[in-house]
Amino acid sequence: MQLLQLPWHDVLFEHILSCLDLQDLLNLRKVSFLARQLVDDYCACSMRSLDARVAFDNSGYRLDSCAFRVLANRCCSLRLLRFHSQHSWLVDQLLVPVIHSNVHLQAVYLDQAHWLTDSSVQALASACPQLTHLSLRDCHWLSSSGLEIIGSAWPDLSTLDLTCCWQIDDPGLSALLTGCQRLEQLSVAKCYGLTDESLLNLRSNKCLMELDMTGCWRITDSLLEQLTEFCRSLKQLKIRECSRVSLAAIDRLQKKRIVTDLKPPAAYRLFAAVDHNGYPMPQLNVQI
Amino acid sequence: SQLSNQRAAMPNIKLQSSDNEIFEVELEIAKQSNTIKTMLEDLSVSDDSDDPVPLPNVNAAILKKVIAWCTHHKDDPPPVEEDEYKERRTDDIPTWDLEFMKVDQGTLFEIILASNYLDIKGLLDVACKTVANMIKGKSPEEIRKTFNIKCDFTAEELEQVRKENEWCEEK
Repeated sequence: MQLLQLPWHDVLFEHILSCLDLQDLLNLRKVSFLARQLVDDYCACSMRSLDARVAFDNSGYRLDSCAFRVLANRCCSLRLLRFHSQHSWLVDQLLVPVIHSNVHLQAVYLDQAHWLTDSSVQALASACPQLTHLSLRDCHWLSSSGLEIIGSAWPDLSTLDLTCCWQIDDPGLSALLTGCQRLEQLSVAKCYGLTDESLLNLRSNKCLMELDMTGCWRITDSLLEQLTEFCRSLKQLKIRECSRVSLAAIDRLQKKRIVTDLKPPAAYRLFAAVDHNGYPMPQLNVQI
Repeated sequence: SQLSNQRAAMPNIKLQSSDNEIFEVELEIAKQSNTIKTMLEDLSVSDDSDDPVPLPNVNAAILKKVIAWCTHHKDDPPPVEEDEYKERRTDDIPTWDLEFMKVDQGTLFEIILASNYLDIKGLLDVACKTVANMIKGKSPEEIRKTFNIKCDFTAEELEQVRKENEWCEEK
C-alpha cells in the first residue's frame, strides 16, 4: 500500500491535503506525475480555503504571482480566500478570474491588498452572493461607490472590516449600512472622514455586537446614545482616540454593560486632563 | 423492536475480521464506529445476537489496533465539527496517539483505510494528521524518499513543474 493508493476524495483530499499549506502542496506537486495530478484534482474539486497568509508567514518564501496562478487558477470550490501582506502582484487582472471561478466564496480577506481597485469588489459582488465575511483592511483605494456595491450585494453580510479605508465618507457608508442590516461585527477604525451622520444608520441594525470606531474623532456622545438605545445586541465598542466623546458618555456605556477599550471613567478623572466641557484633552505620549 | 432491544441490552459484541478471527468487545467501544453502530441498528444484520458482525475489509492485525485505539478513547467526548475556515492544525496529536501511530507505513495506511471504512472520525483524523506531518516542510525529494515514490516526470514535464514552482525552490 502506497500513499497515492489511499482513496483520493474520502481520505487524501478531505483529511491529508486539507492540512497542508500552499508551499507543501506545491512541493507535493513536484514529486511525481500522479502526485501532480492529485494536487491539481484537489484544487479543482475539494480545496475550500486558499490562505496565502499562511504560506507567507510560516515559510519565509515569497509567494509570487506564478505560484498563485498554479494553484488558484485550478480552484473552483473555494469558500475562503485570504491575503495578508503587500503582494504587489495582486492586481484585479489576477484576482477577478479566481473570483469568477469560485462563486461559493463565503469569506474573503484582502487586507493590505494595495494594488486592487473597486473592480475586485464589483467582481465579488456579481459572482459571490453567499459572502458573509469581508475584510478590506488597509485597502486605501476603496471608494464610496465600492461601499455602495457592498451595500447592495450582500444584505446578509455579518462581518466587515474597513479599518484604515481612508477614502470612505458618510454618503458611501450610509449606502452600505442601509443595505447591510445584519452586520454583527463592523470596523471603521481610522476612517477619519466619518461622522455621526452615516453611523446613525446602524440604529436599524438589530444584530450588531462589535463596533470598532477607533480614531473616528468626529463622532459625538449623541451617536453613542443612539447606538446604545437602538442596537440592543451591542456588546463591545472601541472608541479610543474619539476625542469628542465625553467621560459622561463612557460612563453611560459602562452602565449599559457595553465593554469599551477605555479605562473606567474614575481612572480617567484621576489621570486624564479634562477640558471645561468634561471632554478628555488631547494627550501626547512621549517615550524616552 | 424486540430484536434491537435485545441487541442494545448486550454489554459485549463479537466482531469478525476478514481472516475470520473473532474479537469480543464492549458494545460501547464498538459503537465508536458509525459503520458498526448503523449495522446494529439495522435489523437485517442478524437475527441472532450471538452472531459476529462481519468486517470483510479489516484483517485481524489491523482490527486489533483499531480496538486498542477505541478502548483507550472510549470516554472521549463526541468529535466536534471543525470550523471550515480555520487552519487545520497537525501539532495537536495527543502523546498516547503519537506513540500509537509509531508503526510502519503499511500499517499506518491500513489503519487509515480501516478507520475510513468503519467511520471512526477520531482515529481517521489522527492517522491522517500523522501522514500530513510526514509531508509538511519536506522538499519534493524528501517526500519521494519518505513515501518511496519514483519521480516519473519526463524531462519536459520536470522543467514545466520547476518553472511553475520557482517560488518554493530552496534559496
